[in-house]
Amino acid sequence: MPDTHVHRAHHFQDLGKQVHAERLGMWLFLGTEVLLFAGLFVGYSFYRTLYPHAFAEASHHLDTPFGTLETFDLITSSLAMALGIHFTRTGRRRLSVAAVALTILMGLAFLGMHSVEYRHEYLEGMLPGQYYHFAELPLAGASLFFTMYFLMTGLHSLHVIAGVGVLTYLCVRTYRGAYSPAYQTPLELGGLYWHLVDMIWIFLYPLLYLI
Amino acid sequence: MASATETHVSSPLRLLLVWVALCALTVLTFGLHHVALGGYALPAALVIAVVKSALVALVFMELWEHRGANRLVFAVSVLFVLLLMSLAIADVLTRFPLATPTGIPTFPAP
Repeated sequence: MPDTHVHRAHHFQDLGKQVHAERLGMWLFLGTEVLLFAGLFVGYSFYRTLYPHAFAEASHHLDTPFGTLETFDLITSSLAMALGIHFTRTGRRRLSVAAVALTILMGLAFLGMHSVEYRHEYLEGMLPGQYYHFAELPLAGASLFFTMYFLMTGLHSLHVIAGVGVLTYLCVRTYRGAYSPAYQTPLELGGLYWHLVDMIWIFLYPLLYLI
Repeated sequence: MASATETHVSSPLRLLLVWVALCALTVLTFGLHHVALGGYALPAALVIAVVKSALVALVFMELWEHRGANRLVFAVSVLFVLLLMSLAIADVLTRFPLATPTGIPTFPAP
């Protein structure tokens, strides 16, 4: 496999060891990402246990159909990403570029939909901390729900923005033929990041919109 | 050298089936939201979320086929999150007035 030498860094004996190290490094990074979000999830559980009623009431004021649409959007983008990697592995570069581009578009669609939600919440005064002035729900603890909502979805949206950036780079590299059935680890690692962002939303969706 | 990079080609059919399952579970959790489940609503929604993320991790993220180390890293981080979360909730649930900052209700609220 002469073309694999192009990708191998000199300090690795063979490409297999390099790919193993690359994957392990990515999983360690994803582990730290999980722990980063864990802080917010724990804060959410803490306040939710203290103010169960206010959290239930406040959650009814979020746009559930919109949140559901965003869930379908991210799940489908994850499928497109997985297919993109599959197409590179089977040597179909054009299809792969199309699938990754579709993933990016669905990421942008998610951000667009969430901006609409944020705008609505901003106009209604469902804002974090002392800026909370939502007239319909002057309940102790309701402001904490919206504070957690903005922190959790805000951090998640930052990850979507980062993911869109990474995938754009990988899409251009795929288009230029940088990856092949023999080596496509960067594309695979970008996919892992994207799936993690999807997975975090899978938990945010019921906790914020449904309960 | 066929297995040099340990790349396996997962079938697109399997990816599609997982996507269908993820969509079905989303419909299910959205549907359950409209059914009065009382105290079971949160556990039911969380079980569905765990199943969905397990599907993403095992199939989309390919943990099903990966070597032990990657699975171990992810499993341990999930375990630590569960520990942190359950201990934090246990803390709030067992508060009594002398251990509560002013203005924060004890649980169950009086």
